[in-house]
Amino acid sequence: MTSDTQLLRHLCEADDPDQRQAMQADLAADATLASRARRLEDLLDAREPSDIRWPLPPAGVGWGMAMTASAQAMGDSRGHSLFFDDPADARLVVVLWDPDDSGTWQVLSPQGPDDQLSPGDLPLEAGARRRLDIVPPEGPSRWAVALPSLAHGPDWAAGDPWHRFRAGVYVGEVPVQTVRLPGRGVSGSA
Amino acid sequence: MVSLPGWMGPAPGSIAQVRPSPTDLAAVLAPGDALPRRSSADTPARHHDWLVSKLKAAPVQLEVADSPRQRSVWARCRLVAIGERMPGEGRSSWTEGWQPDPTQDALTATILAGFHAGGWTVRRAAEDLLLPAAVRTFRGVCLARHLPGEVRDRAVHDLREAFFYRLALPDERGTPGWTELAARALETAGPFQALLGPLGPPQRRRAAVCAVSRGQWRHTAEHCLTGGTRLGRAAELLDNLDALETWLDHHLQRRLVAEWTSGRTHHDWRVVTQARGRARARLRALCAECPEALLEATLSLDALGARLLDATRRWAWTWAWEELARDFAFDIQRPVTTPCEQDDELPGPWDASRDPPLRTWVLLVVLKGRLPQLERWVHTGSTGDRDTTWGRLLADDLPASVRGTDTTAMRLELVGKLSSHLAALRPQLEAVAKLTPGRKLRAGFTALLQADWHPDVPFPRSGFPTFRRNAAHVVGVQ
Repeated sequence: MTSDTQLLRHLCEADDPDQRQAMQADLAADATLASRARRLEDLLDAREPSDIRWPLPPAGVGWGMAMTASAQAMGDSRGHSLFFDDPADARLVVVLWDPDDSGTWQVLSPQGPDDQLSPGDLPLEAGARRRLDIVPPEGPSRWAVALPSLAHGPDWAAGDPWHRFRAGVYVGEVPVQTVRLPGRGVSGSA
Repeated sequence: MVSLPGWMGPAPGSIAQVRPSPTDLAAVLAPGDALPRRSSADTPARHHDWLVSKLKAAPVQLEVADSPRQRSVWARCRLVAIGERMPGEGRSSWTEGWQPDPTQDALTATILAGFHAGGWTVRRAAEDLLLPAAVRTFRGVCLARHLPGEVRDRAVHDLREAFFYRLALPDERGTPGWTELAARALETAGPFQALLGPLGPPQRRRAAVCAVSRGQWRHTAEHCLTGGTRLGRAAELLDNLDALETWLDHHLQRRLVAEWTSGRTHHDWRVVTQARGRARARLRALCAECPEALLEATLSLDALGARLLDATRRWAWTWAWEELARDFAFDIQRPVTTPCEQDDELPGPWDASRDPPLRTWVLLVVLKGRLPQLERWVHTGSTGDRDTTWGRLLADDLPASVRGTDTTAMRLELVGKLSSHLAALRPQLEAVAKLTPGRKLRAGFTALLQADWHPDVPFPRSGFPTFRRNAAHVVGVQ
């Protein structure tokens, strides 16, 4: 009995070459199996949204900067702080994302030209590290920070302010780091 | 040993212990007129499988008894039938049928070279060329597990984000994912021979040790390699590693016989493909440790675009199941191909400058009457006794220049060379045997041997009558 998993693997052409001939022979000999294969192939080729608005790496991955996170007391509640090394270029822009309810990245900061922070605007901590305070949700969450130069930073006069920034991230020219936080009160790191 | 058609390696010697069912026996051995006949409407994929299913529905009476001889004939027939599938379905299916496309092949080469160089300029090209195949494969795994649509969409979305980073950035071993992809492309050039090509000496040694140490492979090695010890067998295999597929074929036939001995007779091809798949996975893991040589070998393939795309699908299938097990966390630190954990236990190549002191030491061993201990130690790793003279020979008389860090290298060297050392020593032993016993024996012994005695080995100061007797015993002179 050929399982759906075996059929799907064959339909994805992901089976090994020395397994394909046997499956092709089975499909040619068994009309019921061929019918199941056609049904699965229809499901396999169904379209789904494919746009990636932000070309950010998976949680825990980054380049050009190192970032850590730790839980902090913030007034009556507990938040988190993200720490990264103070960059030599003080004119960089600090960009911060978190995912929306659907898991898609959304920019928290900056939202416009007046909202733009540079590393020098953030508190300087021991070890020459800058601190960025965030308030994560109760459950696990992902966060991303990028430090584009002005040349790659948001262009607020352009139709899409983030176009050149995305291009810079895509080819690895913008330092970026993502981090997964386990939830409030638990420390995490990039 | 006999090789059956289609198999590169020899057939197992003993096959009468298999336990086919009466139906299995009938399908192969019953007279033709007792068997069901296929109508024109029957288009079975494989006649044997069709016959077995028909016989299960309507058993026939075998005219011959179920005997060891009949079972042996049955097993041989089945091995021949599976062997017929090996050249084409088992081997050529990997290497043939790849269609060159100059534009895509060149782009693929650029992508691999770009990954190797650590640049990001190939990101767009890599995603355009390879990501759709990976997305479809991930979707296939999600469908196989009947995951809800929103979970499937989320997995595919995260795959699109992670794909390039998985390939470009190093995992916990420091190995970037593109090497796994390249190794899977390379195996389409001959799944074993091609994967051996990029391996450096340490990887080849580890492949040999792994092959004689793990699971059922260990039993095959014990059966057909003569190296005595596990490392001795590994050294023997290492000397013939380029003929790995021949050895693998012998292993596969033994595995099939073992399955049939357990009464499992209906997944024969799966046994073949799974065992070969595990062997390829081990070699791919070692290949990934040699990115320079791997890239060079991969870029020399024709139809590179088609091969890499196919490799992407196979690799993505494995990756998707691993991600599924971890709720699609896309942790790029974890390699898709399980790393090779095999230690490099085999010593490096033997330095011929160690031969002269080794030969003198062997002479001393023979003179002290410990040749049987030496032979047992060489071939089994132990003398099997607590002989103190042998212990002193190893501990005190064996020169440091021969011993090295331990005696493994020397012992493995002697597995193949002890007989030639003994042959070379025979004239000296014969001369010692013919020395005149008595007060002049010591002087005669010294005059005979001291000039060629290697200075790293202590020259004996007593026991000459015993030496003479032992030499006479070994060369057969009384």
